[in-house]
Amino acid sequence: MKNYEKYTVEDFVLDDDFRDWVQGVSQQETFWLTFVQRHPEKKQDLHIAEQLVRVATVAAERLSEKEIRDEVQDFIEKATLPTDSAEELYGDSTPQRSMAWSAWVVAASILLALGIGWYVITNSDTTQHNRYVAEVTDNKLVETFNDSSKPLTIQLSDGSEVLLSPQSRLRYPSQFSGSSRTIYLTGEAVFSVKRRPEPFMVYTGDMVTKVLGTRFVVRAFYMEKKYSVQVLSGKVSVYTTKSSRSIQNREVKGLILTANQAAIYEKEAQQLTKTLVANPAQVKATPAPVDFIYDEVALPAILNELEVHYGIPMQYDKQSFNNCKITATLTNETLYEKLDMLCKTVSASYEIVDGQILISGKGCE
Amino acid sequence: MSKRLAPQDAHELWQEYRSGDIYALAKIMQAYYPDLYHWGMRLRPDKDFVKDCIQETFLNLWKIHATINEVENVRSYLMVMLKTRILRELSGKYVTHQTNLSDEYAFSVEFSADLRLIEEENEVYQLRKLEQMINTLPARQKELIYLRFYQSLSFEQISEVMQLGRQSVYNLLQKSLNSLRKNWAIGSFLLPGLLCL
Repeated sequence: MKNYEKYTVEDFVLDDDFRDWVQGVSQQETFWLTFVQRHPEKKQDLHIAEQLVRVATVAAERLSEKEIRDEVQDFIEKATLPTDSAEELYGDSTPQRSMAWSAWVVAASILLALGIGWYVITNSDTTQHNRYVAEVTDNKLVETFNDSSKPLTIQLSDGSEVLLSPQSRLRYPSQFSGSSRTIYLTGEAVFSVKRRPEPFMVYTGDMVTKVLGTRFVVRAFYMEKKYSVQVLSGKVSVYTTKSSRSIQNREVKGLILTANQAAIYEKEAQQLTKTLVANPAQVKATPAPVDFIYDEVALPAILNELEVHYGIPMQYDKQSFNNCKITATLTNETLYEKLDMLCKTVSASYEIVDGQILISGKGCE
Repeated sequence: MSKRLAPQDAHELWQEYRSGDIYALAKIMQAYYPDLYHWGMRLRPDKDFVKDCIQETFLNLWKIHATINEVENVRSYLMVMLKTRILRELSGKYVTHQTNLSDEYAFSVEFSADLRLIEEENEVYQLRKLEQMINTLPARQKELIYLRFYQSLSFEQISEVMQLGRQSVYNLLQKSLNSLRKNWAIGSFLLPGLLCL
């Protein structure tokens, strides 16, 4: 508890709890009422402080949480531009330039820097970025923000479909053109990409997810320390724009993900790691989930079947597990539950390493 | 007024920002946006202009994250940065020293007494009177009262933001309160207290 007995008028004015009380939003109504009774000598100070708090109010500027969030997102997007063009664009070298114009130049440079033939035609309406769906350019680049509480389906011009999660934003061209299909995401979305020769690229800060045709989920909320990509089917490559910076080294440090694998990008460390999705699904095309019925079957044969059905590579010592005979019926347990069961039977254990499953144990006599 | 980011949390975020975490800076921006926006609108009541200046301020902060120093109080530091940016943009020329500009801006603030939860007519009358008098003070004195009581800055922070010595800030506040006293015939019981500030 603060030492209110020693407070001066000014201390009270500047005290948040006191102000809350004056403004009628205090949780400690009784505390302040009894405080006056307990310290009658403070009564006049409190009264003066109260009047000052009341008078020193200034009408709040109308600014919604959403407007603030949009501004912060704008900041992050502009600040994480490739360094060269960013330096040039918002450096202090040309302070006389009108700032409203410079924002458009920055927007344009994102596109140019990526070698995409979109161009921006400026428009004097500067409030348009706050709209739910804003035509940012001469109907070339479209921005959609999902401020509802339900996922929003967006059809792209190539026939791909995006399920945009709440509080997420997608920027995409109304017509794809050029040698790649590039879109920008902040937040989370599930992508179902139509197979085409032009690669489909999702930019999220410095992480890029590149695909040819597949289903995957990208999660990249700017407030979170990690971004993730989860692959539902097909093949995806994930890399960071930071790692491809050196010109001599043409090799891009990235990951190839297949079904049920996931990439985690730690933004601070700028590090990409491969792992598995939380609940791997069977990927082999079958009419219904397959039951696995085994009667005295060697463990490697079972693991091999799981490997095929879930599309996840498994590493283990075949020799030592060959003598382990299993009798079991595996139905609708998750992959991890199945592995738990199998491992328990033969006193082995498994771990997920680099998007694969590593099984270790002594084996059977 | 909603609760602000605790100073020690702001301090921690500032350290993370200095070590290159843009999300820490984004959190700082989000937390102080209402304060900075309000402050900016007092210096120049133009919504888009103020928003742009806040963007530019933070983009610049991000650019210099590797070389920027630790700061005592993050919020007042940001207020100084924003003010410098706004005055620079308004002056239309590149000026490195804010002192050249400090007399060229008009600070506009209208105090308006919060009369909710007040039942006594006499009390309402007194508050209206005090409100009127505060609003007739010169712009600099209103700015000071705004910074002290609305933004809760310390004398040190105010002297930074207003580019005045600490003693001048103190004297200016005394002066403001004195003129309030001269003009306030009714409710004189309040004045000894005010002068003790």
